[in-house]
Amino acid sequence: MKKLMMFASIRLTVFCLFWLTVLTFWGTVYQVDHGIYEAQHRFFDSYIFFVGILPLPGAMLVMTLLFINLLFSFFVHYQAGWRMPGLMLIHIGLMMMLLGGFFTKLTGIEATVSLFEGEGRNAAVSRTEWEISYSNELHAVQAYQAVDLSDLRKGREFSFRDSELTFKVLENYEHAKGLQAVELEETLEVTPSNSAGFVALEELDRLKTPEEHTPGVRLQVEGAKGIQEIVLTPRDQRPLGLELEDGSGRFIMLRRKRYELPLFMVLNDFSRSYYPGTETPEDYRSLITVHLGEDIERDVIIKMNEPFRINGWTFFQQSFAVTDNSEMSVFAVTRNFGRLVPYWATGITSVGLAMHFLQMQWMQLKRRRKKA
Amino acid sequence: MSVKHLTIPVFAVLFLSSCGSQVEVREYVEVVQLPQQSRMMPPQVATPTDPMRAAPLSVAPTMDNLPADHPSLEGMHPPMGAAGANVMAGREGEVPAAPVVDDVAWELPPGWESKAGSGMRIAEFYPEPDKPQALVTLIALSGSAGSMPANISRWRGQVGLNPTTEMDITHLDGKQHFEFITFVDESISLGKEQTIIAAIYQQPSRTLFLKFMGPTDIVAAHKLDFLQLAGSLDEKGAGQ
Repeated sequence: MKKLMMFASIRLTVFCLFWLTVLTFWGTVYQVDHGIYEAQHRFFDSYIFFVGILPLPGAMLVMTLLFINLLFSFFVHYQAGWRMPGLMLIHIGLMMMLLGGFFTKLTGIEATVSLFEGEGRNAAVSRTEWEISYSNELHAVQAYQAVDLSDLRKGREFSFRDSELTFKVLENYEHAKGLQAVELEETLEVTPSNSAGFVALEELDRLKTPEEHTPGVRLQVEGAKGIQEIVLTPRDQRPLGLELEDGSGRFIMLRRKRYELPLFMVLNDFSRSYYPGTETPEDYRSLITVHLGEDIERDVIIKMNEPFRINGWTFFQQSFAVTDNSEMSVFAVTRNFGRLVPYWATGITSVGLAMHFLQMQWMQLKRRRKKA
Repeated sequence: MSVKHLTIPVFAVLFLSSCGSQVEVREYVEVVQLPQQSRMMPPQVATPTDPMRAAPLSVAPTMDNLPADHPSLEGMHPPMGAAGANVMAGREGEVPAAPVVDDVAWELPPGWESKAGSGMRIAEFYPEPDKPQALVTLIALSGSAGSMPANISRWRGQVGLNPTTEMDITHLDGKQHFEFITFVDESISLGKEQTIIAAIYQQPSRTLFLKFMGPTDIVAAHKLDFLQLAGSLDEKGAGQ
């Protein structure tokens, strides 16, 4: 029990807060040269990171410790009961804040939907995440199975339901380019299949802007007729067909990760206006029809600073593109079921601070009266 | 509290964070409805076992490719707004490759500057280099690149004019035949700040668009220069 008490230590609190300050400063300086994504990935999304061979705690670990520290403090220091309700509320509010952040990190989604006028989709596309998707046909309404590229380490195996195909990861690069056979100096023992003729991958340096990364993966395949290995890159542009032993076929492709939305949205019209005499957009808006079920549909206008929210999802008018034949509207899509948690947590903490302040004042007044 | 007391929980957290070595297979249904004119096309389905071991591009409804019947993205203007270059995330396959066009020649009017274009632009011309808002672009599109009324209507919308398609189109011959369109007089009479003049070259396999958009006073002042440029435009080696 004594050992557990260390988690209630105020020293641990001070250390965690100090280290978070260091990480914030370090991350801010680091992003100048390495970009915000890299800084976030290294310092804030990690439990541990290395400087040379020295391991240091990342923000995830520190905030986990801080949560445990708050939890123990709550039960250890204030077990006397409700004599200090303000302090209890402050602790509850802070824990709620940390838990809410963790929940958002686990379940939050940031993606994009881009639609031409008259076009409809039910899936958002990730900016930075990629998937290997797999299907038996390519219809306008199509069921897919998919694995996240970020889950694929060298040597890992995976398979999809409904076929005997198995895949083993031979190479997986966050940023790479495909190489044609003529670009290679040596002859390959096994020539991988690829719809664009790539037979190998060359890893490239990571960019400051991860949304511009073009990943590449080389897989060993078992169960496909005449194919031992495949290479997949976003530049393939066409899914690769695999013929199974029973004569049926499957498509496989590397593409940006899809998130199925709780609706089907159709862009009816996109309009924009400019500040007079400039090409700076003053306002742009999209009229969309949202289909929520077979017979449930409604028209919605999404415009700058006026997003559309539904079931934890938020659609922001983010951007647009104009072609000679059509206009395309781009929506930033986020899913955050814990969107209101920070508000509640801040409210509870504020109430706790106010209660504690008033209680202290009242107790001081009482002491003065006693003395008098 | 000592550091050693923290060792076990720290390693426990690290261990837990590295769990989940199984590759999770997600399932979802993707639904894509193409714009109206595309939906009028009969649906096509690919077979994965075709000799090329790849789906033909014409089956693209669920892919990132541009289907054959999809509205063209050619002539795409730079994306605007907060997304910047990310606007095409997930639709990279729809972005047409930069054209390999090096067979067009022209004579630059005095005082103008030109620079190589990017994307679908073959070149950009600046009548007044210190005023980049007055810009002439040369774009090559395959085929007929949309009907003339549709193009005119869209351009009129870009400069705040009513989307009428009843326009006087002047047919001119320079080194190549072209159709000349101007909104200058109308923009001046209506007090519009922006206007457009354009020359369109219909060629057997492609259409060239030379389009001058900018402040009305600058476009009006350089109309004759523009016509000189338009008249000089020719295919390289055509006169040899």
